[in-house]
Amino acid sequence: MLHVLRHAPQDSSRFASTLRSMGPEQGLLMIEDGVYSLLPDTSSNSALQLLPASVRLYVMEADVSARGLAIDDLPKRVKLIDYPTFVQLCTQYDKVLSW
Amino acid sequence: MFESRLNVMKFAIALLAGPQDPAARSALSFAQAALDGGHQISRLFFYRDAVHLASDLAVQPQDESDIAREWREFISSNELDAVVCIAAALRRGVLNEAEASRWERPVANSGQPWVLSGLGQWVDAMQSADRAVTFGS
Amino acid sequence: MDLALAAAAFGVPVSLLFLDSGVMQLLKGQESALIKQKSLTANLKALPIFGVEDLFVCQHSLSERGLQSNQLLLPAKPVEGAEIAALLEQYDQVVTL
Repeated sequence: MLHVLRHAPQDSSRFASTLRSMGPEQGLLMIEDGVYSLLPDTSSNSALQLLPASVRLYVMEADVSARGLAIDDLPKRVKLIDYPTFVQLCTQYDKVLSW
Repeated sequence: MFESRLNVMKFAIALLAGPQDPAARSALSFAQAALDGGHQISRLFFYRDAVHLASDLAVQPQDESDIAREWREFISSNELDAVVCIAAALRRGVLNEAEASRWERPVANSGQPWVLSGLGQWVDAMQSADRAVTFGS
Repeated sequence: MDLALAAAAFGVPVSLLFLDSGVMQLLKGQESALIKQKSLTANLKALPIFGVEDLFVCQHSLSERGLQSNQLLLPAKPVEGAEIAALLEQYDQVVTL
C-alpha cells in the first residue's frame, strides 16, 4: 500500500495518523503541504528517519521546490519523484490511500 | 521495449478540493501523467468543493492559471468520463440545463464535458478500476 | 458517511474507521439543531440497517480526547497502531474523508 500525505504535520494530525497506521513494507509519498514533514530540524523529519528501512519514502520534487525547501537538506532515504513516477508507484503498490 | 504494456491499468481518480486548492493541480498533473504513461482513466469524480471546476462562470485574473479551463480541455480532448457529484453541485450552485430547469433557477452554468450524477458513480468507479486515487482529501 | 451509505446501497461491503477528530462524530448527546446543523446521529444509527456493521474507532484518537467507548452512540471496536495497519490492508479500497 502507498500512503499519500498532503497535509503539513504542523497543521493537521494526519501526519501522526499516517505514521501510526503504516505497515512495515509500505510506501509514503509526501505531496503538496505534506512536504513540510521534511523541514530540517523538526520532529516530523526525525520521526520519518526513524521508520523501519523497509518503509519507502518519496516526495514530489515540484512541491518541495515550489515551497522553497532545499533539496540538499532532504534525508538521504527520501526519493524525489515526478508525476510519471507517482503513476508508476501506484501500479507497483496494490492500493493507494490518500491522507 | 513494450514491457510497460503488460502493466496498463485503469485508474479512477477523485478530486475533493476546490479550484483554489493545490490538489486541483496535483490531480490534473497525475491524470495527464497516467494517460502519457499509456494507462486508462475509467472515470474522474469531482466531489465536495471540486464541483466548482464544473462551473463555466468563474473568471480568473489574467496573470493566474485557469485550472477549470485546463481540466475542461483535458477532459474534452481525451474524451474522459467526468462525473460531478450532483448533490455537492446543487448545494454550491453548479447546475446544468436540466437541473436549472428542474429547480427553477435563472441560469445554468455547467454543461459539456461534465456529467452530474450520484455518489454511486464513485463507488462504481472504485470497484471497477485497477487503482483508485483520491486527491484533496 | 454519504459515501458509505451510497456504497452500501450498491451492495458493496463497507466498514468505517473513526480516526482523529472523526471520533467526535460518535459522541452521545449532540444537539446540533442548536446551531442549525443537520445531525449525523440518525445517519449513524441507520448504518447497521444499510448493512454497514463493521465500525472501528481509533483508541489513540479516543484517549487523546479523553473519551471512553461507553460515551459513544454506536458500538465501535477500538483498534490501535498495528491493528489499524492490518485493517487497512484487508480492504480493496480505502478512502479518507
